[in-house]
Amino acid sequence: MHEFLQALLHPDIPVLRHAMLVGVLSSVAFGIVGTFVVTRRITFIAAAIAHCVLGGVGAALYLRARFGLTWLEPIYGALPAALMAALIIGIVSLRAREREDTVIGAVWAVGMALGLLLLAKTPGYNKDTMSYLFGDILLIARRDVWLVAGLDLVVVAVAVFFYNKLLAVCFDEEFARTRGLAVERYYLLLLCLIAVTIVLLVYLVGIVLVIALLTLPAAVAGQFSRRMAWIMGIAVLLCMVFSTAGIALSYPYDLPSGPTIIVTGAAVYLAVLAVKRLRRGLGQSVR
Amino acid sequence: MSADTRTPGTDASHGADRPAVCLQNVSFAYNGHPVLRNVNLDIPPGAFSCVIGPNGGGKSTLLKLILGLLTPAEGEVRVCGEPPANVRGRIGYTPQFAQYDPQFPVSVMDVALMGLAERHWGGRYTPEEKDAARRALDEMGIGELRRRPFSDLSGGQRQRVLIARALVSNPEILLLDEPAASVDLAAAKRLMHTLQDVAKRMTIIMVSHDPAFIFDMVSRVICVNQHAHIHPTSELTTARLRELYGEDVRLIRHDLSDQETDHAHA
Repeated sequence: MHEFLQALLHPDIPVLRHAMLVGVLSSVAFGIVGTFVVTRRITFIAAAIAHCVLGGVGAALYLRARFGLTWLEPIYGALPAALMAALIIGIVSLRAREREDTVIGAVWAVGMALGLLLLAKTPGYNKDTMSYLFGDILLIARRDVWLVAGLDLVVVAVAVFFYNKLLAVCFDEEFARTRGLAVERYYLLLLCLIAVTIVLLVYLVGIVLVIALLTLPAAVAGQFSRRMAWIMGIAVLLCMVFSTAGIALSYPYDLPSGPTIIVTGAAVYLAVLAVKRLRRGLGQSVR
Repeated sequence: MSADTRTPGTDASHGADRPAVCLQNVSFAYNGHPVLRNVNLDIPPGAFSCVIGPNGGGKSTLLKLILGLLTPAEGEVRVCGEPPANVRGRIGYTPQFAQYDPQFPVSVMDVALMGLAERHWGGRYTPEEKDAARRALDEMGIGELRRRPFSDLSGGQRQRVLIARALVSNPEILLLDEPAASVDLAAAKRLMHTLQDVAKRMTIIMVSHDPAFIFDMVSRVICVNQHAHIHPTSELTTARLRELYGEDVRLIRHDLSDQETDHAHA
């Protein structure tokens, strides 16, 4: 741990500070949006959106290398790809609910396939695809911290402004419709919030592991409270703890940070469940 | 059939002449299968009506047409003299029991406040909105449960919360889709007594699969089996019910003040 703190404060290793900052900042969006994902039970939609991000990253890297567009960062491809995936899944599931799982599967695989094809054909591309799939904190630069902070602000502002409407739509769509709420529009808005949040998550833990960090904090928080707003608050704090602890643990042992963050979160989830079960068991035996 | 069969003394008066709900020659079909055919209904303001009929006969469809969730293939629906979409704020609705996730992490108060969600922007409701929710929960007799998680409540209590959610905006018309479907008979009776008080200040249209024990409370019964007919409760006979359900049905009237009464209708 001492070694990690030294590295964190070392003026020549800014990447670690940036990673920690991105982790803490984006936790706010993860906790809020993750709670919606878990309570609305749309984890698989989030997973499909996440895998589509590779298509966007591939397209950005391909165009950058092919046409010398040095300003074209992978995130400029990731964001529209995630939003597009969210809208396609959302619109299809609203129009033909029985086809929802088919479109989720198709978007998931096609997005990923396009990404792999584009990366394979990117001239001079030598970076490991693993970085995008499983996260690489070395990819995080200072300007990314600002970008993440900006997107974070957008997600939080939208979620707070529309909170009561999103809650009503998630709880009971039909009733919300009878109150004149544009249920379809709010559902698509929620999916777009999820898409933006997933792009933030990809920085930290990569495409494949996104879902775990989106759902684990909310799942743990759900063990402590049964009110949405409280679950969101606790999930935000847990997400900050998981990402900070994950990065801190990964550094001294030279482990990849994404998987370390996820395993930390999963360990806490299992521990909370075990303690709860144990206490329930003790309570019953006392009675 | 169009008939104003208002029974004096049982309906709350709203002082308006136009019907609370009016359907004219309304037909509706799901994927080519007719559900309602040429329905004409006039429900006066303040009436407490019960919609009965066999499964698949079009009871819920009738409610959804009044709510504006469905648009009739033919004919016209008017609520308070206007198309349903224009008066959504004046209609309260409680859907059937199984349409939400009972484990959803919200408090009783959160659910009641959802009845005002369309008026509200931002994260917190105003003190006036919270007062309205408290009053609605008190009226349904569950004011003391307002801080409890919704998932902790019994079926009957949840149903009361959902009715409070419909009442919180102080609607002129309350539509209830099988409010007693998932509760036991004693709880259903208590619920009906509460609704009887609510009926003093608004029009209520309630779908029920078991009409027997509410006949003493409602002023009219709307029999729906593709077609719809309004009958004053007193004119509803076993023969009419047999015709409606198409099987051997007997009408047994329950005494609502009695805790232990038989209830069987088919």
